[in-house]
Amino acid sequence: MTTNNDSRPEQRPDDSRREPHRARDFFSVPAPVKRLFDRFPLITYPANELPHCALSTQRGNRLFVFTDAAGVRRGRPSFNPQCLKWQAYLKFVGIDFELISSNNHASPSGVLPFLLPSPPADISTPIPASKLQKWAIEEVHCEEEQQLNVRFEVYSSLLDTGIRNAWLYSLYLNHENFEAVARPLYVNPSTTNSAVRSALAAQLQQAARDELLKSSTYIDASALEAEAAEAFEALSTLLGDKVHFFDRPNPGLFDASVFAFTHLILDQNMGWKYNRLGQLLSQHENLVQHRERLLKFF
Amino acid sequence: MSSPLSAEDGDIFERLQQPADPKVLEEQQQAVNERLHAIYQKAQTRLGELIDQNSTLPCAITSVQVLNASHTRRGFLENVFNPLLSSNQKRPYTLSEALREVSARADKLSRFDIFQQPISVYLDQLPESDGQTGLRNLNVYYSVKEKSRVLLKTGTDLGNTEGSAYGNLLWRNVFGGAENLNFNASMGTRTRSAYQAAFDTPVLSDPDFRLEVGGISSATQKSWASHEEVLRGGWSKLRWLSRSGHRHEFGYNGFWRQVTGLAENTSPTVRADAGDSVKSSVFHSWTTDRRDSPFLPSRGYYAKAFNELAGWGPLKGDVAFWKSEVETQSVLPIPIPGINGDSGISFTTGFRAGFLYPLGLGSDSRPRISRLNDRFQLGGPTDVRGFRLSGLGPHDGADAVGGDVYAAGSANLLFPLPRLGAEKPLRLQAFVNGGRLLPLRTSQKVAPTSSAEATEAMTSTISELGNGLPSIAAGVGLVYAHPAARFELNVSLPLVLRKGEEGRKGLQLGIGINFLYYPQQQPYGAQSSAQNLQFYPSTYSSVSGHTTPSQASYGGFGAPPNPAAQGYPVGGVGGGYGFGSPTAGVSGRMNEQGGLRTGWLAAFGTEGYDDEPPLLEELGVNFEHIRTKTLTVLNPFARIDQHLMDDSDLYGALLHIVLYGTFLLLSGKVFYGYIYGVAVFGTVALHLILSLMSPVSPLDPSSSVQPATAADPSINYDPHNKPDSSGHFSATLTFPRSASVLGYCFLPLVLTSLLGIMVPMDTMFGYLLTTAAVGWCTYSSSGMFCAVARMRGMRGLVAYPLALFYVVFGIMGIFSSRGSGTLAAKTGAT
Repeated sequence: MTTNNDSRPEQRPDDSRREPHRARDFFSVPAPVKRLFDRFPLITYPANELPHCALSTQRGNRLFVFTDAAGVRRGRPSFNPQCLKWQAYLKFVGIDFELISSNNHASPSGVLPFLLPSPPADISTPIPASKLQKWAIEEVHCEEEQQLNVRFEVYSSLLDTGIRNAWLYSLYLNHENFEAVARPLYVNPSTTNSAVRSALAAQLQQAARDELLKSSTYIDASALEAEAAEAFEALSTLLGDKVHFFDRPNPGLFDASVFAFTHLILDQNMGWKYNRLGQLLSQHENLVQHRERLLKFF
Repeated sequence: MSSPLSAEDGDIFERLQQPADPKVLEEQQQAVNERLHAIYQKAQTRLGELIDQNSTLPCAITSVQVLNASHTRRGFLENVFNPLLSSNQKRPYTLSEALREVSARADKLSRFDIFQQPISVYLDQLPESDGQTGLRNLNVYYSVKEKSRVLLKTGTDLGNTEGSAYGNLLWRNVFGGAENLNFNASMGTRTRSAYQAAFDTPVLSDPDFRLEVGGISSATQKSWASHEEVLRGGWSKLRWLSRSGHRHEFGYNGFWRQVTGLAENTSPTVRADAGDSVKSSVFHSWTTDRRDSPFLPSRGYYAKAFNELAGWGPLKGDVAFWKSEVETQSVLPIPIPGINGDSGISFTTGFRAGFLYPLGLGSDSRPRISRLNDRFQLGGPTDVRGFRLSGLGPHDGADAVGGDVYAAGSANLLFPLPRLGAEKPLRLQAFVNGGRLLPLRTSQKVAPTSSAEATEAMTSTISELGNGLPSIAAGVGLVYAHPAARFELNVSLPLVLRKGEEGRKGLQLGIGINFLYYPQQQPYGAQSSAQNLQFYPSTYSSVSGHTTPSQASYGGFGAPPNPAAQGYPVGGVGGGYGFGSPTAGVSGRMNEQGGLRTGWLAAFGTEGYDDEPPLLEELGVNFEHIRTKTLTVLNPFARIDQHLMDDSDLYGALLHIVLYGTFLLLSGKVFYGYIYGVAVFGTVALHLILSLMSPVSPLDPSSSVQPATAADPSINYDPHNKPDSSGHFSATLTFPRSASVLGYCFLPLVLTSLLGIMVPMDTMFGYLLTTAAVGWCTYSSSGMFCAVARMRGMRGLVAYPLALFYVVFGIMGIFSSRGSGTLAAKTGAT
């Protein structure tokens, strides 16, 4: 009896160890079959070539923006303020990148711009606009301007509401401007089909209208322009006679944000038919000069 | 002759009184059937002879009438029948010619798919023949019944690695000329949403020549290249069936495609093609199918050629290419010496190839590089087996980006399963298949700038196909050919792979008709359109270049030739020659239309038969039964019907258990685990005990228990168990029934626990109430068990274990509730 009792405790841990092992084996492929399966495929050739694609040949950082073929070649400013803001910012902080002409469908977040970092860095996970600054700070160790100046957020909101709404109105909802500026830039490159073009144009205008109706119950052009005039006034006062906003030695994110709008509003190449914003902006000489200074980066 | 009744004659009465032996009855019935059949055949032969003898009799068809076609246009019918009239013929008919023509017209009429099968034809001879020519004048009557004009269908489909729900509206004979209007809406896992409308009409009243116009709007998830394709567009096409059985389609496609909804890790190649593009193309397809069955052919061949020209010249659009594809399959039966007829062993070979040649768009002569949604994809369980969906060809990261040139082939050997034989639609197969999919290869990896360079690139790509072995997989598997679809379960191993290509080791299940070597049967032709609404025709694949299901629907290109209307006529009407189709009872094949839909996904569809019971009922959820049972439990004086539990639904029982747990939860304790545990183990144990107690089989004549029930034929009915009682277990008390009884009789305790939410139960009142409830449960359940298991005189014995079972729940109820806490305190519970 005693010998029996003695032998049991020894066996038990052994059993308990074997039991889960066996259970796992039951669900996994038996070893001989696995060895056999591992032998296949018998031959592995090198990978197939990829279809011809402009993207796969470039190896640097790639910034996807709204632009045209000439813009891609010469690295000219994008015609979209959001894209231009980040394009300018990355240039100001000294990050090399190549422009890729693209559209909103290509972006994981649904809007441009986004950046594909050069392959060794990360396995081509796109960086949306909202994370671009963080990425840039990690890349070149520039400073985060928001923390340096408490007024940054306040003035940013001037751009994001006052000027942007007026911009949306004058670009998309002003009929003449839409036909002369927005259509050739945003709609026509998508397709050559006129029916699809008019569908896209209608979608675009509706999106702008919805965006404006978010902040007010109706769209009043003169109110939007008045708001923009106030915003320019405030920005002009903020800049004063300094070279860059917040008196920084180098242009930064806020300069890029302002430049994105002032450049496009004052750009003769845009072909504005009705440019009330341009008239308002021209009254502030320091903002015009600020734009010209920064344009030299391109 | 008036002999007294002998003892033997007395026997006769006795024998007459005895119920007839079913076997004898069956034999008699069979004899009667055979006799009827012989008479019918004889009549047919005689009629045939009669007509043969008179076959050269000259006659004229003076009028044709179509009866009951109230919604069909006269002009449309005139187009069909005018050639039949003798006034439009150069010379008089002979009788046999006239009959042949009449039957051919009936066949044609039935192929429009607006009338129910069969179309009956009657001939009537006018009393006076034409005096001058001596011709016999015939009036022809076609008696038709129009199919219902509006057909609404909803259902679910599963297949092609996609599940979807759809709704379909078919409006037949819209303008009275066999025009069909078809709306289709579906939502699914891969085809996120698809809306489609198509209108098709026969051209010049010819059922084999149809014009179709349609439009589609859909959003499809393309997981193999991590994006979503939104599609809007329309097509128009002519379809015709030549006399020799070749099918042609010629048409125009205009589609606006949007590559959107890209995933986070989508490859740059797909990203570059994101956005809008318009394809404007003309196409032609030619198909011939000489196989004996599309799903499991044993002999014959199939061939298809498809050509599409997009963006060239005046077509415009954003893409320009010439796409060409061929597809062939041939099947050889392999005879086995010593076996007469088909051995069931067959050897199938298939080959597919295609290329996409870039063209210049409009006035621009620079060839356009192909886009992701125009390129070919290859691989998948229903394509090249042994590879994942789109597992062949160039891959950028995880995305299959497609190629411009492909070739794929396969060889299959199919054997019938031992013991099952060749008749069963089940085969073992061994297969080897492989293919290559290549992008356009250009020297220096730049896009070709002229058509000469494009040609050079194309030839170099095609020659690259032969460089090295193709990617190959081999395996064995089981094939099942359901009338509606083909199922394959294969074990496969990749033999040759390219890096990045996704082979599949092990099991692979394929469902569908899109199998590479079982090319898709076009829906028109073999079956009528209504049965085919859920075919996924390959038209959509011409939209995007690969086999994406589109749920496009077709009107019928023609129903099968009406077997009734061919050959010599049978039956007689009035004084003339009768020419009616044999009735359904005789041929036995007429009412096939009423069967299950035969679209290939119907195998998994929920559509079902016309007079199918509703889903809840099929699942056994019958609210009427639940109500009856509940009332029986609540009324202790009700007589318990012994068939009460025949359908043994568990839903009511489960509902009570869950309710009980919920009420206890509301009164403060979570007892679900205990309740389920006790319920499951208690039910199993009680079932074992009670079925041991119940009589073995009330049908068994050796059993002394209740011989009277043997007269009740309904005992034979047992929805769950065949009444073969082996061992000592009850014949009528099945486990689902036990569980059902126990669950239903739980009701009084459920009500008590409901009360326990508001009133503290750990008091004298609670004890009394719970005891009463337990008593009630026991009483009704023991009564039910006795009735269901046909037990007599042992109710007390049955009640005892039941009481124990319910007491456990009763105590749970007491503990769960607030109250004086006396009992809880004594047992140390808090």
